[in-house]
This record gives sequence, C-alpha cells and structure tokens, in this order.
Amino acid sequence: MALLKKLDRTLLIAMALLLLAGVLTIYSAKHARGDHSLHARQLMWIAVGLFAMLAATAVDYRLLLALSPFLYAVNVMLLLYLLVGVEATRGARSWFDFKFIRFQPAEFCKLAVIVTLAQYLGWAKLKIHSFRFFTMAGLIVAVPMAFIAKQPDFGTAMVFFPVFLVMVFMSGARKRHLAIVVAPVLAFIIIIPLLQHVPPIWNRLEPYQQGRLLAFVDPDTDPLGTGYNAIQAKIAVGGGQLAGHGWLEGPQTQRLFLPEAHTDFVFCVFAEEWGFIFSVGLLVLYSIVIGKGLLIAYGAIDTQGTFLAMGIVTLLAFHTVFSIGMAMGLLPITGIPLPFMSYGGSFMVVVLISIGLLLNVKLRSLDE
Amino acid sequence: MERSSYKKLINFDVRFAVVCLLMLAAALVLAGQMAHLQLVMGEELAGQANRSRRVPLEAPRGVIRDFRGRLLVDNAPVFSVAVYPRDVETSKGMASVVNTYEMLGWDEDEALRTLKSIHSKTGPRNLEPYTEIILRKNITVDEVAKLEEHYFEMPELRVQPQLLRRCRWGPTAAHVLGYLGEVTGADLAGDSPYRMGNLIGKSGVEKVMEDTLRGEEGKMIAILRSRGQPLLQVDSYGRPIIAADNRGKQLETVSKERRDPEAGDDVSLTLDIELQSLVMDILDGIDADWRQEDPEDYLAGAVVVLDAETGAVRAMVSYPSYDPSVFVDPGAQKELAALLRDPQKRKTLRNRAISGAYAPGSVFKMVIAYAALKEGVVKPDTKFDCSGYAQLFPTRRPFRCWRWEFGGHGPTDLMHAIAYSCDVYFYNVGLNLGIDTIASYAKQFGYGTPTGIDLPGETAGVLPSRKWKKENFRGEQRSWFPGDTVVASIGQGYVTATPLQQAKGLAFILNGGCSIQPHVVASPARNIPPHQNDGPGDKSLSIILSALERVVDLRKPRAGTGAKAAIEGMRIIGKTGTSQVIAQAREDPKNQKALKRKLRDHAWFVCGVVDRKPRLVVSIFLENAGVHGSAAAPIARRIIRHAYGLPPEKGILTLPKDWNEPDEEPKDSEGTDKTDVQHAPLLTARAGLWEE
Repeated sequence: MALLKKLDRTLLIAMALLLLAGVLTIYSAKHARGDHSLHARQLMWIAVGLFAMLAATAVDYRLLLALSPFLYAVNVMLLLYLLVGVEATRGARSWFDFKFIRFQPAEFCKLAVIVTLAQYLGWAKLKIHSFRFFTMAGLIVAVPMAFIAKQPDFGTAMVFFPVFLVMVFMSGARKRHLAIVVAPVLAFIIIIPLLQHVPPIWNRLEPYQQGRLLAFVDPDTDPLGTGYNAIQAKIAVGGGQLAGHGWLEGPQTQRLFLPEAHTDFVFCVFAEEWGFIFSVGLLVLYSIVIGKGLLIAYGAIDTQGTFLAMGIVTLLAFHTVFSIGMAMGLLPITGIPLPFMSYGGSFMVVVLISIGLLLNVKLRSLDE
Repeated sequence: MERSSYKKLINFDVRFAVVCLLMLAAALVLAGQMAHLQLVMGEELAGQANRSRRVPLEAPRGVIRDFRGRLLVDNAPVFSVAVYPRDVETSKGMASVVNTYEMLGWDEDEALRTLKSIHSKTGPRNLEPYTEIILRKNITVDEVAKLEEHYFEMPELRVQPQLLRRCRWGPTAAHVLGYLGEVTGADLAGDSPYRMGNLIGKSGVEKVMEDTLRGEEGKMIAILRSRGQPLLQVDSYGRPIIAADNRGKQLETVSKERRDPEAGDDVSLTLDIELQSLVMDILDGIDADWRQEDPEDYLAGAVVVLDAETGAVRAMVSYPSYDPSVFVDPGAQKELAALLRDPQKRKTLRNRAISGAYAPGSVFKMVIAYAALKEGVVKPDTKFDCSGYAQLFPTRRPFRCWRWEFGGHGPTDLMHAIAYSCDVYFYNVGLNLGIDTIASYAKQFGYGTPTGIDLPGETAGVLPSRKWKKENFRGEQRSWFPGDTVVASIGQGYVTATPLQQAKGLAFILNGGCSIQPHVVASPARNIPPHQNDGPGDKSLSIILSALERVVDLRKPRAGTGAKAAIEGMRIIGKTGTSQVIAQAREDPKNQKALKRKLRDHAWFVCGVVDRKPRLVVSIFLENAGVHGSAAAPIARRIIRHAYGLPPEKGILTLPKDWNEPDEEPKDSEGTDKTDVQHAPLLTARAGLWEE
C-alpha cells in the first residue's frame, strides 16, 4: 500500500472540510426559502465527484495526456453543438438538458483545455520561445474560450485567461510574448471606467454586461439594479463580524436579501453566519489545497505533469479568489462559483476530478 | 531532485516563485478585506442588514381612445386589500383575514381560495420577501374607512391605493380592446421588462399594442416598516433620503436614487364607440328575442363596419361578448370562471369577426360574377334558364336553386342572377370557370389570406383549389370533383371566410378594384402601404356594382334579396348569403322554422354605401339566423342610418317574430352525394346546359 501512502492526506482533509462547509452553507441558503432538498442533491454530486476523482487518480495521467487531442476535439464539438443545435434557456446556451440532469460542457472543457495545453507545452518545451508555437498554445485556449463567451457565459470564458497565462509562463514563454497578451487586458481593466464614453464599443455589450461593469466601477451608479446585489453581499459579509450570527441565523440570508445565495454568493452566507474567525479558517483551507497543489506541480516527474498541476492549481485559485473577492466587493459580479462550496453538479465533478488529477501527478512523482 | 536542463534554461524556479507569490498576495488581499469588512466596518454593516429593499413603483398603462378621443379603456384609481403571504402563514393571520371579511360582508371563501393557491403553487417562502398579494381590488371608501379603523386588530390586511384597468364600455368592444392577464414564464424569459405578477395584454389591442401601452416601472429603495409598508426612502446603504409619512407619502426628496415610473403611451383607435354600442344594442335586442322564444337559445355572430377607402374599422362586434375588466378584478372571479368554463360552448372570448370562418354563401357570387366577366365566360346579357333545378350530371340528382319551389327564376342574366341570387346561373358559370380560376380571382378580393388587421388571432379562412385539396385530404378525396366546383360557385362547400374578409371583398368592388388594409389602431400609426387603384374604372366592376345595387332595391317588378336594407335617397350595394349548417335543412325549407336553432343556417348580409363619404361597408353575420337577407338586412339599415346621421326609424327595432317570408326561403341544394360525381361525363353534361 505504498501507493496509498503517497496520497496527500492533508490535501484530502482540507478538501473534506471545505465540502462539509459547502453542504452546510447550501442547506442554510435554501433553508431561507423553505427548501430542504438542494443540499441532498449536492451530496449526491459530491458522491459522483468522488468516484470520478478516484478514477482520475487511478489511471496514469500520462495516458490521459496522450488522449488529450481526442478529449479536446470532443469538448470543442460539444460547445459548438450547444451554439448551433440547442435552444437557448434564459437567453444562454450553456446547458444540455437531460430533464433529470443538466450538463454544462463548458466546465468539463476547462479540464480538457488544461490537459491539452499541458501535453502541448511539455512537447514544445523550448520551442515556446518562438512566437509561432506561442500562438498555437494561445489558439488551443482561445477557440473554446470564444465559444463559451458566445453562449454567452462571460464568467466561465474569463477563467481560461489566467490558466493560459500561468501555464505558458511556467513553460518558459518570453516576457514580450506574455506582454502582448497581458497588455490589452490590463489596458481594458484600466479603461472600463472610460468605456461608457466610447459608444462604438459600449453599445456592443449586452445591457446586463454594461450594468455589471458600471456597478463594479461604482456600485452607487446603479443602486437599483446590479449595484444593489453587490451592496447586499457586502452587508452580509460585514454583518458576520467576528463570531458570525450562527448557522441558519444570518439575517441577510434568511430574509432573502442575498441574491444567488447557494451559487455565486455562497461565501457571503458562510461569512455572515460563521464570522471572521471561520472565514479566515476557510481561507486557510483553500490555501492548503492550493499550496499542496503547487508542491505537487513542483515535484512532478515530468514537465507535462508540472504544467498539468499548475493549470489545475491556477483554475482552483482563480475561482476561489474571484468568487470570494466578488462577494466582498473587490471584484465585479460575474457568475463564478466557489470550488467545493457553490451548488452546481458539473462544476463540483470537475473540481473533484481536478483534485484527482493532482493526486495522480503526485502518485507518479519520484519521491516525497 | 535533479533539475532537467530545460527547467534550468527557463529559470523554472524563479517562475514558480513568481506564481506562488502572486497567489499568496491574493490570499492576503482577501484576508485583509475580510478583516476590513467584518472587523472594522462590521458593526456598521450589521446595522444595515435587512433594512433597505427595492420597492417597485407601478407605472400607469396608456389609455385607449376611440377616433373621436372618447375614453375606451383607462386606469381607475382604486383601493385594494393586500397581504404579505408570510403574515398569513399562521392560523392567527388567517383568522384575521376571515374576521375582516366577515365584518365587511365579503365572501371569505374567495380570500381563502386565493391564499390557498399561493400556498400550494409557489409556497409563500419562495416569493421575494414583501411580495404583496392583492386579495381584493376596488373596495369602497366606506370599506377603506372601516379597515383603517380596525387597523390594530387586524394588521395583516393592508389597504393600498392601486390602479385598476377599467374597460369603460364593458362588453361593447371587448374583442377589439382585449384583456389583460398575468405574465407567464415565457414572458419572463431572457431580458424581460416584466416581473412576476405584472399584467400583460393577452388579446386584442391590449396585446398588439403592448409595447406602446406598457409603461416603465420605477423603483426606489426604502426602509420598510415591520409589516412591510415603505416607511422611509433610503439610499442603497440604508441612509434616509426621503422623509415619508406612514402611508409612504413623500414629504421631502433629498436624493436622486429613485427611478420614477414612466406612464405608457396612449393608443387611439379607428372605432366609433357610439356606432359600436348601437350595433351591440341591436344584437342584444335580437338575443333577448331569441331567449324569449327558447331560453336555451342565444345569439352568436359578428358585425364589421369598415371605411372602404381607408380600411379603418369603425365598428367590430363579436357576439356574445364579455367585460374585459373581469380579467383584472379579483372581485369578479365568479364571472371570470363562468366565462372560461363556457358550459354552453358559446366561445365568448373568440372574436368571430376575424377568427370565425364560415361558408361565405351567396356573397361569394360577386367574386364568381367578376371572374366570369373578366374571363369572358359570360357577357352581361348572357342568360341561363333557371327552372329551379340544374341537371349538371345526367346520372345524378339535379342541383337545386333556392327558388325551386316556385319554379326557379326563369331565364336569368347576370344582373338578375345577382339581384335574386339565382343559384343555377352560378352553377353554370362556376363550372365554366373551373376552381383554380375562381380561386385566383377570389384571392384578389382577399379571400383565403388573412387581411392583416392589427388584431391577434385572425384566421385565413379557406380558399379551395386543386392544390389545396391535394394537400389537405387523403385517398380518393384528394382529387377535385366537378361537384366541388358547383358548390363553391355559390359559396358553400370547402370555401370559408371571416366577416372581415367579406367586408374587404365588398370594399374591393366599392373601390373600383383596389384592396384595402383593414386596421383598428389609428395612432401611433402603423405603416400601411397606400392602396393602389388600377387606373380608371374597371368595366366589369361597374357592372357588378350596379347588379349589387339591384340586390338592395325595392323597385318593381320584384325587390332584391337585400331590399330590407334600402334607404331612400341613398345608393347602397349589398349581397345576401346563407351559410349551410346541415344538408337536411335544405331539403324542405319549411323545416327551417321547425328545426332546432342550432341546426338552422347562418345568415350573411354584406353591404356598402356608394354615394356618400366616407363610403362605409357593413358586414353582418348571424349564426343560425336561418334566412339570409331577412335577418341581417334590417340591421344593416339601422347601422347605416345611424352612421350617416339619419333619424332612427320606428317599428323595426327588433325583428318580427315571423320574419320568414315566402319570397326569401333558405337556399339551394346540390342534392347529390359528392363522392360519385366523378363518374359523370362533365363536358357533355355542360354542353347541354348552354342556353342563350
């Protein structure tokens, strides 16, 4: 059982605690609406995810890497099919609806892209210095990203960007190549406040996107619309104070002042009911998962393993930072779920598979 | 661990350190913000929890007026009784509601029903907090005073000023105006301007002009009293910006954090509500007569009055009608339920003027006559001898003319065939034209296609052709039989049309061959293509026009079938028609009176005024009225007299009880079984019929 010993116990314990916190928080968020079924569904998804995680740990990740072109092709085709062949529900084409279950290909695509990019970068090695190879790496990410942005699911599409940056950075991309990618994004963030004065661009955004951008720049610009949610979220987090109101007692949550309490704003519910001490504790647990992931990436047996682990760590870290940051009014409101805690079947399974892959990379590494 | 040369070359360790540091920095920023919000600002933010709420501010819907600016639909300010579902979850809350209802003598079952449906459908907890449920609208001032008096005993019930959509003319123009209903899931999908509980136009002008009529809901953020009434308007952090009294009445504004509601725009119609109510009164009178005869009976039908030049609809009545207000007034739930259940199958909600397709009957003969002249099948003086029968296919029973009992019409030319509605003449003409030619002409008149009126639910009717029958039937029935053409020639069989299409058809003749676009909305104006006139007068049309004038003619030797619509000093054209209900009815016209009302034929009368401006067209359709001109023509006369400002006549206000005169009996019959007609040698049969 040497293999089992190599499984990362600290990582698994941190993960288990986060999952527990998630289920409790979802229970509380839905308790406010008198609905006591969602946490059970979430538990079911965790069970499914754990099996998927086991599978993702057991099969050698190098086999997965070898299969990456197929994975990639299948995922991109699913996304394409969503765009052309599926009726929009609530204005977006993000779901395959199988009645009893809804499946969101974009979530799985995140993993497929990471695996494919890891394989590509591990093969390209120093060639990434050439702009052609750098561009190729960019295309691998850009194609599915564009499809997802078209759904439109701006939040999910956005996640691909940091994953790509970190992975190519780790593989040795030149600084000027990176600058070419980063500069426009930075510029964009800087000019958002000015954007509303440039009608040709501004008018191309959907009204809800405009609202969210404006509300981010200054929540008080649209206090009757999206800004209102941001403010209610901040009030919830702050209201938790040091010790919190206690489970099922958060006033903002229980009186439904908090929007999307079981998905995007799940952290607010936790922070309101458990207070500062537990919130910091939560942050520590996330840091353990991320930190362990970084160590696994560093100790991987091959470069592909390193890139794979780095991609996964970036994915988890970005989701965590963005979701918590958004809940606390630091970042604009985009539908980005919190790993281990937000309700959502596809995302939960993907997160657990990610952990499985991290363990997989660790299992095959040379030493402790 | 030994590093590979690749990793060394790219300074892997430095890059790794950079990423780690970035992530650490992010974690620290998050921790910092947690400390800031929860520790530094915690107390302040905790004080703001559950305070401010977005409160929607209702926007008044635009009003609807008739063409003289008279109000048809507006919003009445009323008082309503509302509750927050959570307040009545408890038995105490429920008891309070019931007590109040008892005190005011209202039907408490109604309130319980409403509450129960909230509980079962959504569950009160699934509603946004402080979503009001209106229990009863439109309560009297006395009731308001009583409720206010007992406020402290029953705080669950709140009195609230509200706008109630009010149809000022009740059922008079219900089908044109339409009714409102709550938005459904489909309306809420996507980027919808509606929220749950909003009202939306479900039919008629209310539906078609929804975007114009609907206003823009306002919003404000307010601190609510514990019972939920807005107490103080605040900004988004809960700082007061408006001082308000305990009714939410604004005393002073200090901030712009409030979006005021924008009222919807008004809509003006082409309707003349006075004319409309006259039509309604006439139909009410007939309905009352029928009921007196047999309480089970009721009148159903439609009347359209149309300006032949502009297409403006001056009146459009579908009978029976309903009061659209019952859809929005919770106090009228019983009426609404009865309307929707429709035990007598009256189809009250259906706008028969545009959604009801019936055989056009002899009115269709104007199309056949026009086609025949245009195609050169007949000349105006071509005669067919009507002996009461037409032996079109030697092996079959003859087709009958409606005057068969009296020995037919004798030798008949076009003028007389139209004036006295000779069926035999048109059997022959129709057979010579063939169905596809008939269809192409009928299309010019507007048959078989929706008129495109700006009302929802219009039907196209049926304009049969060989192609149509092939597509809509199976097996042997797919081929077109000569017998089908024969019945189509007198507007029976497969062909159907709406009362509005018939009006449009007559307007085509009245206008000298140009088609109009019927419409009910005058402003905001729709882009209506200007109608094109095919140059100076079409000769065939003027022949038909003068023939149709003979229909409404009292002169000797014999009055036309529509003579009852004649008005001295006015040139009126018209055509009567009958829409067969069952074949047996035609076997013996004497049966008609004995037949149950439901089985009697439908009556048509379509007429138009030639020498006055505006030139109005009146199209009347009465279900089961039995006989064409007799039933409908006098109605047309009353409508026209009124529309042109002539004094009303006495004595013909309602139909005489025995208005079946021997001269104007029910219609024609083919008298044959259609399926076998194909065996008849058509051409020889036809050749033998020519008599000039």
